[in-house]
Amino acid sequence: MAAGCLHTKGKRSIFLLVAIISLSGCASHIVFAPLPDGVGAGGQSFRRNQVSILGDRGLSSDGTGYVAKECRSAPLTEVKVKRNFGQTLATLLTLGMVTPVTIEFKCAKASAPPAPAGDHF
Amino acid sequence: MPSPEDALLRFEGPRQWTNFHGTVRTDIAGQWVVENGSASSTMAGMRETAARIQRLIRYAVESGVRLRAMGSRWSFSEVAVVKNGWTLQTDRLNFDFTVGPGSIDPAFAGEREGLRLVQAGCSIAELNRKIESSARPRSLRTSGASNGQTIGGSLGTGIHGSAIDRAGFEGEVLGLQLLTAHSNLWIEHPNFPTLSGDFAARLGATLVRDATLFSAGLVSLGALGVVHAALVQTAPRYLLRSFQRQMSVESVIEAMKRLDFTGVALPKPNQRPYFFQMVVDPAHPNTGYVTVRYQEPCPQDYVTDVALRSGYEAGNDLPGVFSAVLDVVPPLRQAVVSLLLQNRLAPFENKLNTPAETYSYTSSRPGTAGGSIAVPAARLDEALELARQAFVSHANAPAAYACRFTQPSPACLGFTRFDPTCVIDIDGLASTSIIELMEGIRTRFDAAGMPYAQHWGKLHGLTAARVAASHGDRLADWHAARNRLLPTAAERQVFSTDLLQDIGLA
Repeated sequence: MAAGCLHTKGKRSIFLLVAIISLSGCASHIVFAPLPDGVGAGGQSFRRNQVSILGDRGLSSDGTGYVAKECRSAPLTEVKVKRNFGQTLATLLTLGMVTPVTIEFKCAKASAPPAPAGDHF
Repeated sequence: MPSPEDALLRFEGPRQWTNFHGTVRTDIAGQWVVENGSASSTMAGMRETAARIQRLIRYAVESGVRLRAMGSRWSFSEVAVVKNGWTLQTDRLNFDFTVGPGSIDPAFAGEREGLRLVQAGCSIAELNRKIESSARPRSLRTSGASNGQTIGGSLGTGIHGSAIDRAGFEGEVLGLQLLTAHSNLWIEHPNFPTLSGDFAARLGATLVRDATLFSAGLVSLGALGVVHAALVQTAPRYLLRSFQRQMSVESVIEAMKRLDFTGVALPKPNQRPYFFQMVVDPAHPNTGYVTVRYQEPCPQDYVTDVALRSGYEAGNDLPGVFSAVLDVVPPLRQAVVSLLLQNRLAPFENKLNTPAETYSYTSSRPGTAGGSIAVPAARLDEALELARQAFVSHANAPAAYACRFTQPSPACLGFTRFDPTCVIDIDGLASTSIIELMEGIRTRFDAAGMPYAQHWGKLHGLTAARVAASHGDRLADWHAARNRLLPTAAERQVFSTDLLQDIGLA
């Protein structure tokens, strides 16, 4: 009976550990512009999955890097690099040789210059 | 009718829509994204964009598809979206204009300086930056705790802030442009004519001075058409001297009920606060984390600086992590909330900033939940006792609450309707228990006959009965306005949602 309890407790601990890792496995790295209010895809961030193979001197699913054409000529205001459990697992199993991530970003709005004082109309 | 899609009005197909805080996920039939034709603010550009939006509205009517205009997706609740409908993303519509003397009605009785016409997609952050950095700097007299909402979104559900002698943000609006399938209206209150007769024509709009339409449009729930622009009044730029300290609830409760802080041991006892807020950890209900701000003149050469100094200012995903952890380890919940409160509400003295610097950026916080209930400030003690009972019954709910104050809203469906109003904000980490807690509070209020109204844009327990109890004396005006602005059933259906229908507003 004691062995059975231990077995059950062991399973529960593993389940909790996996649950914690799964639920909190979204590593994220964020860079903000000092004025971070930007726009994205219909209000949400633009999102792109990217896979790096063999690191800096290797291959990437985006070649030498992704050009954020969504921003047209506006600067980026926020970049988030996220990795979920599956992406983390792939990184671990390949010893870092294959690192898939999800990148979310926003672009600065086209800035309407402040209208001049006086009778603008 | 052919699709109105063009280079400045793009359609993106079916998808799952998510709000900023990650509390609502809904399948939509598609989203429309509208832009202005130029970066420079022009009235011709305003007319062009308005016409473009109206073509979309007519297309939605003909197609029998519901349409929701949205800005930053700031609302916690589902009020902003419609299942299987279309969304119209307006956050790129950020024209703004100063108003010159030639455009002001001779009968205008307010302050002529600092009137600002703002397009709906301009965020509070953008507006703050522009008006506080202009050659004759101005400030908003009130806004919410953070600056991410758009002007259109702010007028969708109402934002209240806690400037104790001011109504919510909608109280700062003197006129608004409302678009429907066949009407383009500039609406003002007849008792407060603001812009001149030919101004509306320059917007391509018809001037209407009507108390019922104006009052309804100030908090429109997206149910009256698309708000395209608003005229906002501002004050000469000022500073807020802020203090935060722990005080006993007992020492401030009577003052909060009357909004009279005479004799209370506040940092500047001889000056009336401009802003007052108390946050309470339910685990320690006798202690309040009090934030008080005093208004001061701002030197002309002061340079407003709203730039972030650290990523932590913008928030981070820590509450989301805790939320995930706490779902696994419930007994830790309240302890973590207490620690978070002590960390974020540590005492400080004499922080001197402009409003734009004070009410700054908030990053997306997955895993947070928020609800707000407005009660008469004079009955705050009774309301807090009922809330305390609910907290005791839901001791594991990871939440804290805040008391904030405003003058009554001029909007027909403004939830801050009491004179004056205390808004009890319940905020915490998303979990089943906090939802149950919020409902526990509302149920106790119902049973006790406590008058209250719920924030449209936060987590709620809205029902037709509760809406009638909160706003019953104004529902006739609301429907009258809606029927005048949207005269056909097809048009009213376009601006309806299941929620609005369920609660008797559509």
